[in-house]
Amino acid sequence: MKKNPKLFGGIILMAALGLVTFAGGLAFAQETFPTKPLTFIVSWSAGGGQDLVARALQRHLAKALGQPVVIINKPGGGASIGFSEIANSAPDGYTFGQLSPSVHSLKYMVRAGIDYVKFEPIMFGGYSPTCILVKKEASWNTLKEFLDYAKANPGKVRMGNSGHGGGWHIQAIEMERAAGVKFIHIPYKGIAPSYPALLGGHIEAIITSIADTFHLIQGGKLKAVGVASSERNKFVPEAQTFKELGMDIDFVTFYSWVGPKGIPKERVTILYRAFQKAIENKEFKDYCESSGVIISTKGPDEVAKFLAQEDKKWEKLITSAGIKPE
Amino acid sequence: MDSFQSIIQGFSVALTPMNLFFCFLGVFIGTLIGVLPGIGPAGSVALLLPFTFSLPAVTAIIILAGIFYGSMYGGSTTSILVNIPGEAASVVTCLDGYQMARQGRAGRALGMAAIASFIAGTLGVFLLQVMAPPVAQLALNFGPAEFFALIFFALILLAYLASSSMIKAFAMAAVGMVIGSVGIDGVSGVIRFTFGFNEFYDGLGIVPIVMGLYGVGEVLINLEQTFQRQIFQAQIGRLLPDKEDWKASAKPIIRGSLLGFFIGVLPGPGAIISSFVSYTVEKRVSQHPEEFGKGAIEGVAGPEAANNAATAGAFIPLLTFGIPTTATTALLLGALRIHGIIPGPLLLENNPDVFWGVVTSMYIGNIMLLFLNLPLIGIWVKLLRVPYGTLFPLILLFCLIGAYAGNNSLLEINVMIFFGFVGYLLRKTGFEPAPLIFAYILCPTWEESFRQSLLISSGDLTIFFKRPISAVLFSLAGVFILSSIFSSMKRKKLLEKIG
Repeated sequence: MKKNPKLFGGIILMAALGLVTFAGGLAFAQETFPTKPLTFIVSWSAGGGQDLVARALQRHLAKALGQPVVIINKPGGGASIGFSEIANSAPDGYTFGQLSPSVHSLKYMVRAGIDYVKFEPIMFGGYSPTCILVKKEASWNTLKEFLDYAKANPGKVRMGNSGHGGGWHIQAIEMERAAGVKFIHIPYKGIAPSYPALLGGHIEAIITSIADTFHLIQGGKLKAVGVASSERNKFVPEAQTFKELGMDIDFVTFYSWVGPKGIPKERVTILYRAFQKAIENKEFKDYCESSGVIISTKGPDEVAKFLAQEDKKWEKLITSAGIKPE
Repeated sequence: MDSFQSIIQGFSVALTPMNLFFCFLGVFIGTLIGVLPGIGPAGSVALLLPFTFSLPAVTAIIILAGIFYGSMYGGSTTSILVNIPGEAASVVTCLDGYQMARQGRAGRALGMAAIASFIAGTLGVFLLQVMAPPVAQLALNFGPAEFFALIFFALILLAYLASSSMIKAFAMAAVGMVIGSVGIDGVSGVIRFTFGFNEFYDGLGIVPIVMGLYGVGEVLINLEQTFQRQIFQAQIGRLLPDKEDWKASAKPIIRGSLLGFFIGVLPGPGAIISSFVSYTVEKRVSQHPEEFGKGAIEGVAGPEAANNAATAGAFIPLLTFGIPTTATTALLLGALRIHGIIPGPLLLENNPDVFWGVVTSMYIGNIMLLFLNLPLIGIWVKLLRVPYGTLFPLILLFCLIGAYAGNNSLLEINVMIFFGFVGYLLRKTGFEPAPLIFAYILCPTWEESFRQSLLISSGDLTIFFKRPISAVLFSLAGVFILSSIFSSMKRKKLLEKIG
């Protein structure tokens, strides 16, 4: 062998390559999905409300699936970048992502080809209602007081939102219609820049979700003067609902998980069971409890029905809001 | 006595072996991140976030915060040595720091950067500790109208960024303004100049642009010239600043720290903006402004102090109200929330050990960073001896990684490469990228603030003069412009008399 080192090297190389392919073969022999790490696409920047829910779930999901789950943040375009990424990935069950109501508003507002039918629903995890927040020291304590003031002072209530044409802006317009009031909408790049403006008295109110701002509500700086869910929210029990006052307003931010359309049914079921187990975990439940997220689960078929309903709702909303899509 | 007890309590938390270890780990990683061009604190904090979930809350924040303020120490290293900023906030350090390196004063520049960062960082933590609530309250008074006035003032200072032709600097600023308009306009929902790329909704991205203009562009121009690097090798000279450097830098460090701290409290990329503002202020008040751009140590000391103080300032809205003002503080907020800690007024009541533990660990961290960075100067300076043929592929590699690490976007890499060619062309034709970057960062917020102000005032333009802070800022800007015109007229008259 010493006489012909090149041959020796070549044999070793062949043996190594052979072992590699053999190992690959071994993996295929094991049929149970999943057999390699999975990718969890989060369409928002790390640290935000949606991202934190995903991260709170990540470890428990990985345990339930028996494989590591890697979170990839793909922010941008109001979540359209990440959503497109999910929809275009291989439907083998190894890639999935988190969906929010933006999947509906983006369909009608933006030419990015976002449509709920491009996704394979896995599970619905929870929600947090849209709310109107004001400074803690503000004189309005109920939704009725707030709306009465707005009615009596058209154009005096400046309502901050997360961007012109965004989900919350459109919901605010619907609230105006239902309540017969006129706000001045002040758009910000995302809802976070509006917090100092609200605290500093530059605007009167903001429209956002309980979960996004729960730490500010708990911290005692802001109070929710009204919620847009159908029943009172347990995290802000004093806040009246629009329905109580006779308006048909029901808006929530939801957290649900989907993959690209076409994942084989058995794999969807395995993923669904894993998500179910992960949600039951005490640590995750504690996180939701401390951040204003209400856990409420739906299975794949229910989710599909829910998304179809929401889509119709948003189509109506956007046409009546009169905002032209780009 | 109450706050004294709190400090003691804080140190008792911060000085445990585990917290000391993680503090060191955090600042060490932060320094590395700062040195490597492209990769920034936001990306690395996001990456390490999941690993901190199993740590106790204080420890998690200590290490993540350490990465944040540590990166502001390392950022100046490559700025000085190879004219490539390690952090977007260290762009300004390239202007004079690199010139100092070319004159054989690299060690002194690096030393001053480290020491200025230490002084500013420690001063910033001290101000955070004693003045957090009133400063936070003051910052709340800044609404859209005040931001419009403040940015107007800052843009006037832009004129001082120019080291050669004023016209060229303004041309660059105009280009920066146009580039800044790419993306969705928050106020009207109109999409500008994205040419169908949804990835550009939120703009082109500061990291690809800075890394392209300064990183890739610098490499390209150097490859073209057969670069005489013997100068560097022969005259490394002193490794620490001398008495004269100290005399020159003392006041810039103080000014930079205060400026950086207050700008850091305000929303926005405080570290970058404060480093630019500090540079222009130092040039304005200097007795020899023509030295700037040619290796004036004030141009290193001031901005480096500013960006470190700004990171301390950024903690104020986060800890006092739970409001994040930068991408990295948003991640820190996320870390706090995952651990079930509510930042804000309740933080001091419910989790005083977290607040004081983090604050005292920041003092410790700054000391660690000083002792970490000063000895490293000798090693960094040896980097200059590495043949450029080996160095530049590594630089390009790190720029590519950094551009991708931001948003996992391949398009951003293409943006960086495009701006790399732009940067090359700019250098060949004698234009400077710095005013472009300054305008790129400030103009979108300037426009947004203007339109938000008018929405808030229902179209009333006098809002800018009715509100006290913005009125004061506009008057200051007016005084500034008048005094500059006056002094340049005086100089002209003097020259006419002599000539």
